[in-house]
Amino acid sequence: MSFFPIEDPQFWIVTMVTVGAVIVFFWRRKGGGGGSCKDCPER
Amino acid sequence: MDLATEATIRMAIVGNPNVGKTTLFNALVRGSSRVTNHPGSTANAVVGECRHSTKTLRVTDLPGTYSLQLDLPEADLCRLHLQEGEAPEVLCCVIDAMGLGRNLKLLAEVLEMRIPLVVVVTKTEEAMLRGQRIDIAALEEYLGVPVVEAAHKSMVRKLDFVSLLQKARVAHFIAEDPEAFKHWGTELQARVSLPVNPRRAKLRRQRDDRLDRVFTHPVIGVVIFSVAMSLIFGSVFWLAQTPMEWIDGFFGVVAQSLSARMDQGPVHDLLVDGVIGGVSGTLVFLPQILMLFFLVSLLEETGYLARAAFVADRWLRPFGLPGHAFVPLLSSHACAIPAIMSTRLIPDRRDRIATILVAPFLSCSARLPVYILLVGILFPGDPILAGCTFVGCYLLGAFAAVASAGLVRVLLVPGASMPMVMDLPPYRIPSVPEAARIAMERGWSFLTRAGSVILLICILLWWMSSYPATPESSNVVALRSASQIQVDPALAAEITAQADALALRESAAASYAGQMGKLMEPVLAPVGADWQLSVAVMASFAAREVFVSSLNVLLGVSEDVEDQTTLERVRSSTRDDGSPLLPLSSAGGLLVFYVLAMQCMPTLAVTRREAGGIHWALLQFGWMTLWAWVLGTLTRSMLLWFGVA
Repeated sequence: MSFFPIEDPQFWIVTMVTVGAVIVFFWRRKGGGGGSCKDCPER
Repeated sequence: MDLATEATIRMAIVGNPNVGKTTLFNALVRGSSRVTNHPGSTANAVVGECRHSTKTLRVTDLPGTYSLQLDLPEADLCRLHLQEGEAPEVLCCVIDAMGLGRNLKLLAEVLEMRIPLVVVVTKTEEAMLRGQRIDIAALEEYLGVPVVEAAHKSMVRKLDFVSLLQKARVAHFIAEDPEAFKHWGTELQARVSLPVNPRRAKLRRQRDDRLDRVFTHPVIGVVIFSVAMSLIFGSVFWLAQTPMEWIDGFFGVVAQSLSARMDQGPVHDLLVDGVIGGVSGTLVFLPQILMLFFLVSLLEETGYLARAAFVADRWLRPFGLPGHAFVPLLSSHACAIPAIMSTRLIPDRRDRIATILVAPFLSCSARLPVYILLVGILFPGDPILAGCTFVGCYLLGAFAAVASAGLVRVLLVPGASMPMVMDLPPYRIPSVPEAARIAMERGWSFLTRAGSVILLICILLWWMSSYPATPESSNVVALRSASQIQVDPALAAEITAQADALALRESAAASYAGQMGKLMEPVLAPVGADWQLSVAVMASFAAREVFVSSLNVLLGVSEDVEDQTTLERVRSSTRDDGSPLLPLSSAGGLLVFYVLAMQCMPTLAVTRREAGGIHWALLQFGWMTLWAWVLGTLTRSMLLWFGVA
């Protein structure tokens, strides 16, 4: 049976960091940041 | 309007195609740009801003056109931008010294617009080699507007543009009729275009012609191109080996010292397996990327690549691709996104659609880390075979592109493509500092990508492959009990290590990423992927190079491999049944899959926008994924049939 170690404070730290990463990822994409042509080298 | 007192100056860059407008634009705005279009036009312009002391310069890079009066989307957009709404306060017209006569039509139209103007003359160095000098002072006097010279594209970056703009003036030129324009153009060329050392230029041209006969020969030209590319890729593998080991070693030391200072736990695992493991998995390929771009830039500087384009035109035409498609397709080797955007220069819409659909087949720089990893597994310690396989990947992508273009032209957008006209630059000794600068620029772009989007995906993937947690299974508990009652300490340690490895693997398999991988495994198994590789393939749908980082993160979570290099880590990892994670047959199948698969969300978004509909993006995705899966499966099956495990 799988579970989340909710009593472990470190679990909450890594989960918050991950949620932050997801927010930044989508925010950057919306703004034309990471993964968009802005990052591509000029040719 | 007094530009000296304006806080924000709106400027537009106009010019013929391929005269160096975008080089000037990039030098000014340094990447802070967005694409915009204008109601009533299907073409796009790029807008960027830069600050120079107290002034903000808002620059619009308009698409290249030979005249504002042409019935083409590019000319429509230029007209609309220059005549309506927020028209620019100052214009910069870029003209090319190699083809001065060709630039005059647009220059005359721009002069008549009565907008303050500056003129930038590019490629004067190349024109000098051809025996022609442009007298900048005479041109300035004749036009009545400031004129500045950019002898070589590297010099564009050194122009003091803001002070130049402040000198911009309205010209007093009006061509009443075609005869007056003809007279104006003839007189301008006679005054400003001066012959230099004609005997030497003639000898140089004769030498260039002799070289061209070899380099553009239909058969010898292709052989030379293949040999040159094989040599480049072989040397990339050979030269980059040692710096790659340094980078891998550096991240190994960082991970070990972090492990020594931190207690074991989720935060430690996130930092070591997710952040360091993931980012180092991509960064380790930086030396190869630097080396490749350095060598290709050197080749480009010699003038040889333009000849290669000429040779390629003969091969592209039977497949319905226009000669104009070569530049976007060549750009696609750096990145498909600017390549697709540069298809705006292709005059015919059907040609443009065909080029957009097939451009992502060409191997972009994001595929390099995946190729390097898989080729490294296929041919360890053999740079010649590795280099040949690399060339094979590029050729396979090119073949898939032209074959698909042929089908697109027959089934979706039928009709003949337009002939290509191009200037062949003179041959010359390449500039090493310029090639180094280009390589550093590409390297920096790769670094920022590894530090942003790849890092974020790695963190998410680490969490998904670590949670939800599972209690230890009866097998793990039994192994731990066996280790406790073992009297031989060495044997006890070995059994404990086995228990740890099994616990890690079971925990990763039960995680969200593991569940998704197992769901996807039946689809990707024919290509050679187990559930772990399936997770990496799925994660890399956002961006291809994430495949390597994802594998690093997953193996960091599911195996005890912290002190190994990326290649060693992948090579020594196993599947659930104990067989190697990436046997040669799977590495071959996945390599072909990655050569052909459409795994880049931003490219799909640009295809949708540039081709004018989501159906084109979906067609591109479906078609490329189908080819990738079928040929990946075929490759693996053939390797297995030939006894390669």
